Amino acid sequence: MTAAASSDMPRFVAELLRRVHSIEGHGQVALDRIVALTAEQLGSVLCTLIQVDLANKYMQLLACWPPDSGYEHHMRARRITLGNAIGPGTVEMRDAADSNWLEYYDLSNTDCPVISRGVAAKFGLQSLLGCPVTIGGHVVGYLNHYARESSKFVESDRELLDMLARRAGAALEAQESERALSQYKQLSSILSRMDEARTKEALLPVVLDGALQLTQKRRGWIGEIDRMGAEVHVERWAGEPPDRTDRQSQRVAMRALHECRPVCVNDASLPDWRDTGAWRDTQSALAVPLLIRGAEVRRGQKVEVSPKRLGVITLECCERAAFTALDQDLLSSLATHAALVLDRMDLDQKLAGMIGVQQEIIGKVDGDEIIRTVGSAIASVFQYDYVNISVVHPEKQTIETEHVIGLPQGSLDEFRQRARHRLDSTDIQADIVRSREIEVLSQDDPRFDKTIYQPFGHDQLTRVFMPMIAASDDRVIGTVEVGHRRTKWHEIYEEDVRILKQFVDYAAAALERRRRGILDEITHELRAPVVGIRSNLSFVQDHFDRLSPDFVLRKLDDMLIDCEMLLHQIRELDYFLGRPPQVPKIERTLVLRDILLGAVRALKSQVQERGLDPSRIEYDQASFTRMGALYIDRDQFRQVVSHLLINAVKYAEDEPDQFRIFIAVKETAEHFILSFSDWGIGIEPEHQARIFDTGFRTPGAVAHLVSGSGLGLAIGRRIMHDMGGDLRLDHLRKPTEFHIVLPRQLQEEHRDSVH
Amino acid sequence: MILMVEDELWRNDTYKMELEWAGYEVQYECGVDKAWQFFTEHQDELEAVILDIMMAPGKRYMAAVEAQGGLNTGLLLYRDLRAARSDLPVIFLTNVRFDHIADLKDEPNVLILRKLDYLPHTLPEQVQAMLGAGPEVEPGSPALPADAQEEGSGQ
Repeated sequence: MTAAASSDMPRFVAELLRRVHSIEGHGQVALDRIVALTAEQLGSVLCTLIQVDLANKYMQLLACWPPDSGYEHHMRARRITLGNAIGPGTVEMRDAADSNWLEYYDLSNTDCPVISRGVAAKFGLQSLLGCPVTIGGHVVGYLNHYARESSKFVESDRELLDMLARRAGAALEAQESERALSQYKQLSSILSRMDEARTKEALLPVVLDGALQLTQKRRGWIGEIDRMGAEVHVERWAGEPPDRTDRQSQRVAMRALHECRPVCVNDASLPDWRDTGAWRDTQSALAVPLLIRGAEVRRGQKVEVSPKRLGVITLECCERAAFTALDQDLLSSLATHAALVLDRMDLDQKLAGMIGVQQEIIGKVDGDEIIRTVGSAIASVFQYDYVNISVVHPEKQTIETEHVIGLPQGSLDEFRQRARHRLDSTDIQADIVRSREIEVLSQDDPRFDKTIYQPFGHDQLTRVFMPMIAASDDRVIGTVEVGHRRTKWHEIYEEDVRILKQFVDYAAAALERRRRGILDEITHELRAPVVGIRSNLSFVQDHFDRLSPDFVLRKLDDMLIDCEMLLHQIRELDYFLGRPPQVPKIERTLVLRDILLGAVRALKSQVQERGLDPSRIEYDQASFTRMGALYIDRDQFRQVVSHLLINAVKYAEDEPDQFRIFIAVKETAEHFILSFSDWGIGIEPEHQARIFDTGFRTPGAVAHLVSGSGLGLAIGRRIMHDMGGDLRLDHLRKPTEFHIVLPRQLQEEHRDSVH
Repeated sequence: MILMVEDELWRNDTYKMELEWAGYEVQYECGVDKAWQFFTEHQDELEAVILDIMMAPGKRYMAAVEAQGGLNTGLLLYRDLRAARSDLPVIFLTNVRFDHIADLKDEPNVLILRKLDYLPHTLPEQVQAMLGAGPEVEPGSPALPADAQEEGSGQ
């Protein structure tokens, strides 16, 4: 029956070896010659070379003798899922692989992993001897000799088959190496093109087209995690438009993401994978996650390593078992590189966003505006759902929320009320001020304020807390707290924390610069009157005997004015440091007599020095008389009036005939309105909205007179609000008109009726 | 003649009066624009200039970034004055900290005085030491403003 029966064994073996070695190359021709030689030597009725992929459980016919046989037509170009081809409960291919050789008899009545009973009966195959074809010790296929008889195979059959199977293994290995080399060259070229991409929109086509090119497939898609991981959005697809993008159809992709490894499905008709795939006729799919394996995440105060999932590439095919181990390798390399490039782009984008905002902050002098800008930038650039910037108030020993994004609608005021904590409390904000550490908290952290935690939805958030530290004196001036919803992803990545920290440091420096700038202004403003008083005192003391009484009186006036200025500055300082105003001292006050005339007199020297005429400060006496006496805190009200008058003089035009200030009382049903009109340099329309902001001075004001802290109007408005009134800008230029709004309840008779 | 440039003379006029009392002729100008105009018209008559540092930048320096919104106005005016007259003695008389102009004290004919450290009556000594000669008028001459003098005094 076989060549082993030959009587001239050495010659036969030598001849066989010669013929085996004469088979050149590793292409299809070589494989066909190997099966032909096998069939010839063993007298096979059918000889096949099949490729098996044990990992993915499929087999495929590579070569067959006799050529063009019915069996070949039956098998050619088909990939048969192992197990599925022969039905459940039959012999597993892995069992066969473990035993290495396939040896089966009475095939039409016996379960065999590589041929079904029906096919065996159809082609009259009774027995099978299959020798494993190996590459590097791994079974990659079988060289199968089928016989019509059921007689036992002998040792010489095995030896011959083994020799030819080794040659087949060498041919397949060479073929695989060549293909792999070519594909890795392609991969290298694709990676280079990915490096050249500058945007995600430019990168994703390169990645997807590259994946299809490497695997020689036609359809696939790239999904991006919605930054949070709960959903995968199809960002780009290739081939015909997908039939579906629901979670059911994305199960392969989701598993790859969940398990952080490639997942290959060879038969989508299996129960586990039914209805998977973006296209309805998908039979096999390969999903590879886009992830950074060694990403650093912040947990508590520590930094640990964890995968960072960015998205997934999924290739699909309408044939079963369409993806090889090499496809997985290639796609994994592609995905790893794509993830690195995507992550770098994301970080670059965040950095660019932050740098852009830093430029914006440079031009801001108002602290509230700096904080608002920082908060909005953090929310938009990092896409956090929640941002809370809190500021330390040393004078009150508290930390209080200044700006918050992401609260339930309408809850801001209540939140700010509750989120005010003493620095010595156990609340997390106070603790961050003390510990100075960046921290991501677990849900059950005892430092969370329970009155805030659930009512404001903080139980739904993963948050990082970060101290704002002023570099100048290493003082914690506040905290930044950011987070995203837990339904999204659970990690806070350290790269984000680093960029955020850099930005927060910058914001802290900006706030500190602005604070120091205002303090410098205030101390300068304090120094000037002190020096003025001392100079005048010294001068009068040195020359007292020679000075006229009028001159001494004038100098005393100057010194009194400087004393008033000092008190004014001290009130500004109190305001700036956040000290609450003193308990109001309510007095019966005639505004004209008790406040306005004194304030005008105090300005006389300044007005004269500028070559202006003090008599052009006018008031409508009758309207003041009609208003009568008010019950107000005289000192506080004097502060507001003085500031408006000082401004009107400071910012007067240089031409004397343009100088005029006019003060009058207007009446409405509810209010008295003291209008202060001046014909000075005015206020530009673009600065109208910010004129009451703390520390704000218009460029025109700065150019005209450098001194000034920019606090006066902010303080004035606060004082008037405390009185139940208001301070408003009514007209910008010629005249510039400010209105002090006083409720009628402050009037004498009203007060009497109330009492 | 000494040109004094200052935004708030009402508060600092005692410095001016002390110089005048000591016999110097002092021309006061409020603001850099007027000061520069006076300088261009009278530069050959000037013995020295006394400048504040922190002053409104005026039209002259409004667009100059270096003026820093007025914090450095005096410094910019100093440079312009020196460019026009490199030998012109300049005294900075100021309330502000002058760390940022401390290097100027090594330049010839420059004096930096902080008002906190120098009372008005000490200014004439400093000016005299800088200029190397006393004023043309004898000290004690009737240089105070008319309203400052008691009748019959000051002679």
